[in-house]
Amino acid sequence: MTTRKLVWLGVILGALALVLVVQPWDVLAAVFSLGVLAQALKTAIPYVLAALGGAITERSGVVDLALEAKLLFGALVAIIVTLAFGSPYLGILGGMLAGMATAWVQLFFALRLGADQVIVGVALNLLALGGTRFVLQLVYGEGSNSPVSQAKLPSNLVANPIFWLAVLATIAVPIALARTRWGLRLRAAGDRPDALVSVGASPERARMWAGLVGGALAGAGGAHLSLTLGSFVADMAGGRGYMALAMVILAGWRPAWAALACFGVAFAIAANVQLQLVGTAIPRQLAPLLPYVLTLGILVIAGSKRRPPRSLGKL
Amino acid sequence: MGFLRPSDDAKRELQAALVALLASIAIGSVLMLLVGASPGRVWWAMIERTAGDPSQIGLVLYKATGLALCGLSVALALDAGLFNIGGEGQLTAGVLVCAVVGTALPESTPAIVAIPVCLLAAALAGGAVGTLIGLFRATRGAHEVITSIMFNAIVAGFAAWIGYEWLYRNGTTTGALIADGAWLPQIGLGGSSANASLLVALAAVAGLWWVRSRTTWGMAWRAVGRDPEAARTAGISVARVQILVMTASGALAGLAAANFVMGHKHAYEGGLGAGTGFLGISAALLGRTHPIGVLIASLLLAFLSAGGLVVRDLVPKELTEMLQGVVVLAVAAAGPWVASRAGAQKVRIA
Repeated sequence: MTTRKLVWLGVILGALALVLVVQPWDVLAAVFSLGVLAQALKTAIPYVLAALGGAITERSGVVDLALEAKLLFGALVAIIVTLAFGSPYLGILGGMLAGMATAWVQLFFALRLGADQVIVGVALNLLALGGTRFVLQLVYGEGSNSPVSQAKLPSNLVANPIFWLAVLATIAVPIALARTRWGLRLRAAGDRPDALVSVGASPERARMWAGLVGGALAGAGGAHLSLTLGSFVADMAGGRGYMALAMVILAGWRPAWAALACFGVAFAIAANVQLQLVGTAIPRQLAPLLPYVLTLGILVIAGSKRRPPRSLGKL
Repeated sequence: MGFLRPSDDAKRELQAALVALLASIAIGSVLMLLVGASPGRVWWAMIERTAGDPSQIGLVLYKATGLALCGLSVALALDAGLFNIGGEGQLTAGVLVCAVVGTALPESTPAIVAIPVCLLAAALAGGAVGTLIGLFRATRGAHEVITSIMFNAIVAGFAAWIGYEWLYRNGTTTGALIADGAWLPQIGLGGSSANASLLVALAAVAGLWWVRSRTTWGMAWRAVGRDPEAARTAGISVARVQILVMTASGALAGLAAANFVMGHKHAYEGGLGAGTGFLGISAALLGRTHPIGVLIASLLLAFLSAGGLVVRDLVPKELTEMLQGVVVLAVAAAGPWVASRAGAQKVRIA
């Protein structure tokens, strides 16, 4: 990194440190506590799963803007299955399948029909916003909230299978990408699809598999949202999908770093909740903006140093 | 009348739009069957109940005005190869600044001064957000989709803060009324909110159409959109075009404040105009980024949106909300599909 960029980063971190130092000691203690850490881990789960799913899809050469849709559909189907069968574990499965189905539609439009991948992603997100409300209305007669399910995932992290899935994925996805044949083909599809073709393999197939796995992960992230709350609330993904993709880009399409960045965002969110409770001079409408401002700042300062997969967005 | 004869390109764009529209109507009809309604009856009711009711027509025009400006914003950027989905934030910035300037003007300000001043303020505010997005894209390579989303959140947060700190009155989320001179008159269709900002939208459509197809600026940004490298070789400064286009794009979205602030609420209100920015994406895509197309698409989408409310005894309004997403997906597929069919025919002839 150039000296100039280091200086800018130093300025940002210095400003952050200044903001922290100015807080009274008990506020700092409240923010950097085990409770907040645990809350941060819990908050991070949908971000991490969506980011890992997005990283897989993007590394295979497909722009993945549909993470928001995968989260939403995953959350919706998870709660519907749980309400129907009384088991949140079946719900998790339902959520993952919903994510995979969304990914399949995305890939069909992008790869088969050749539609612009950015537009397909945004279109699916728009569709998910209206579509989840429509399905809610169809199934439960009410377009904004699902009924509350008594059967839900425990709030204790250790007993939450999606938490363990996130942990496993954070470890397994980078290894799979770097060291397995599947990962190699996936990366080839993203960087040098002609190399794949020359050995008789199909980039489209590699992208299909990548997309489905990515969709399953993102769908599980969505399931976490509704199954820990116990119901589905309209628009409950709340922009997490877009933030997760921003983290992927920020991390240079490296899954492990993306997961770390997502944890950073989650920590900022959890810390903000705690700050609001404890009382702080930072206005309550501005404090939640920290992740967005930081993301913007880092994206702009770090620039396009890390290149995206060479075939990203191209057929 | 040579310029009225459509080129092959134009014919293909029209075909794509029609295919997308038909596909959306078909899917919409399937959805209606799913909820146990008769599609023919629903579509007819939508048309009948809207056409016969001046206040419904007014509602459609009111929605179409904001949609057209946001649609033009997205369309302009798309023409230059940029995907500006920050319309929400740019509109909010425009609404906020327009309302603040409007309340700061002395009460006796004549309309001939107040209206242009407020319009300019709205455009500048939206344009400022657009400039930043364009700047970050042109100089740092930060993709405008992500930075737009970030700015949407940041602008919303700041608008809420400014509202609660300084603007909102008496526990509401509404601010003070703007000066009388800045009010845009209602069109008077059955008491609906359709107002003179429709003229602003129409002027924007005409102006953009003229610049886009009749000036070298238009050719420059379309060249950048088609092939940045070729444009650069031809001597066009791609970075400059990107920044200027994003500024104009943001300004157009900000101008929609005319519809919501100057023509309807006459004050700042939290969340005013929300959703229009995103729906503008649909209008831009359905209109194939042509200003006239965007206008027609805006009227259609506004009709769909208003129509969803008017037939809510037959189908839930969530159905029409979902259709908006269906339209965009259909358009995304229709373009390449129509192009591939044209390509296939060419091969056969050869």
